[in-house]
Amino acid sequence: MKDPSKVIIQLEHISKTFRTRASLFKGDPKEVMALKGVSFNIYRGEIFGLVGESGSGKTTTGRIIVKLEDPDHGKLLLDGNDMTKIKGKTLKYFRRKVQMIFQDPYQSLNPYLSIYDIISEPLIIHNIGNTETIKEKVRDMMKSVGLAPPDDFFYRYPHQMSGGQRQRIAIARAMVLKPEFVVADEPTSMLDASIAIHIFNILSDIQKKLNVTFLFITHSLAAARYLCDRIAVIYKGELVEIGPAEDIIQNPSHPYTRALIDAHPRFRY
Amino acid sequence: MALLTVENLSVGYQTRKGFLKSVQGVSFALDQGQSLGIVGESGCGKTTVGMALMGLLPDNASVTDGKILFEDQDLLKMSKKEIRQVRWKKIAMIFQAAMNALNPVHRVSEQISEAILAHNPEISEEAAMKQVESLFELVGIPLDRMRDYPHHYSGGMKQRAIIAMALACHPSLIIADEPTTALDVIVQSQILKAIKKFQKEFKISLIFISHDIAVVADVCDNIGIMFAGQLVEYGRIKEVFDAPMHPYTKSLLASYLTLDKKVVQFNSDMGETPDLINPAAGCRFCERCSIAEATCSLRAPEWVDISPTHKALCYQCK
Repeated sequence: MKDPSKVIIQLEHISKTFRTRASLFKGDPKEVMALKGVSFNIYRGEIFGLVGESGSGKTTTGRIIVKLEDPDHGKLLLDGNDMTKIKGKTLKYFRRKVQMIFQDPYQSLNPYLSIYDIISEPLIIHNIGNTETIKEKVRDMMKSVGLAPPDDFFYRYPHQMSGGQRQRIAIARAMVLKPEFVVADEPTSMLDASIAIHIFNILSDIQKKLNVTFLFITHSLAAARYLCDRIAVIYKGELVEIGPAEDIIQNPSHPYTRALIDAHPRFRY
Repeated sequence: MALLTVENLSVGYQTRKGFLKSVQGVSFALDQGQSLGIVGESGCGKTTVGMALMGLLPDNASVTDGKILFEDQDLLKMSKKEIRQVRWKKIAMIFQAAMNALNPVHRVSEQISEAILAHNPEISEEAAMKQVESLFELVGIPLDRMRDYPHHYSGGMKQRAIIAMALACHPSLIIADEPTTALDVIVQSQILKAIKKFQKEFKISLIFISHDIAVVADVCDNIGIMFAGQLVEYGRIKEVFDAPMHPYTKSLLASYLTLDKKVVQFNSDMGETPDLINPAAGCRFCERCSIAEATCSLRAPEWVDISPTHKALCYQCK
């Protein structure tokens, strides 16, 4: 259930700069400021949308939240506890609570592992349950993402699956640990429009069933509106607008949000 | 007189599991200056149609039936040499993966002048470079970026360079295969505007292949919906969008997310693409269809004319 009194993820003035290495021919290294002091809260049980164009820093934000990237400045808090500098056991515990679904299901799945191995791997890494209970958990998860009957898929490999099926496998893998918070980074940008909506419905069903909190990263305001409770719009490393999804679409206050809305293809003919 | 007439085109791929009938009996016609959008999900055969038009089908593909008449000549009967005279000079293509369509080890300007020189050997290199300059101005790439390598370009700039390359030989037909799929909405709308502008300005005919029905609505005059290798609905954009007849078209339109209205939970029952090695005798959509009757799976559907310009491949549309 949505509970605005409970903040699950809190970002405080997060900044991140990437440096390109100096090449042999082209002199000085360049600096790109991907995030310039980004702060926002995500409440327990909501689907929070982060919308922006390529290079706006939305993926970097997601990667910082799952700790694939460390911020230069600022703090990341989970349930009020500072997670910015954790390592070792605490980090492993953090990874159990916070998971990620990547953009490209053609690259995010290990081609040498069977579907069963891919989905059960997180449970084995975190040493949860024995062979029988792991199998049961994998089966349950596969059913929730619409891969049924699960046993038919156990010994298949990623290359035998369609794009939509692969993304479902990626979702099952992320959800099998029953995380509290999941970052979904453009999970449908590689998929057809008609399959995309199917994936959205799976995410929204799982969200209700397991009561997880989602950060949904996308460049499409329409997708964010369909799925999200609140939306933040990010532009050149800074948040320009944040609020309830419907408000942002109906009454965008920042010119960039309006540009995003105008750029969205419409049925004009 | 139509510039391009495709009659009953059927293409298949030899695979390990058998002969996969990727495209079956596709027919349409396109006048000079008109644009046609082909929409369908992955694996429906829309890219195969484009590749057949360009004569670029892979080795394991074969055209089993049909004609492709371009300026009254059958492209399928041409020798490789003859088709090379038509390809790029008269029919150009904007490829799906702009990221991979440019050669990474050559400067962008060189790649485009190469295309011009290959088809117009009488032009001098300097004159070709001049043409490249005007093309870059046309598509809106700053001239000081001309001599850059592709990896210096952003996704949108690469796509502009690809468009410049397609326009290089003043073709009369351009086939654009998902030209904006890898781009974000803002760049997408810029590229679509550019394509529309050139299409109108130079009266180029355009075949626009996409899975995104809204993008097609933005650019095209006519639309063809493909499912499992067949065209299932064809008509003017307005007709198809105002009154979609085929149940597949209806489900495509319903599953599209717009900013104009809030979609309440949509339950799509997306099955897998049907088996195209042994296609069913009846309607290929009937397993996913909500209005299918028992007879649908037994006999193949026939075209139903809804208006002189609008038709659908479904018995239930009458």
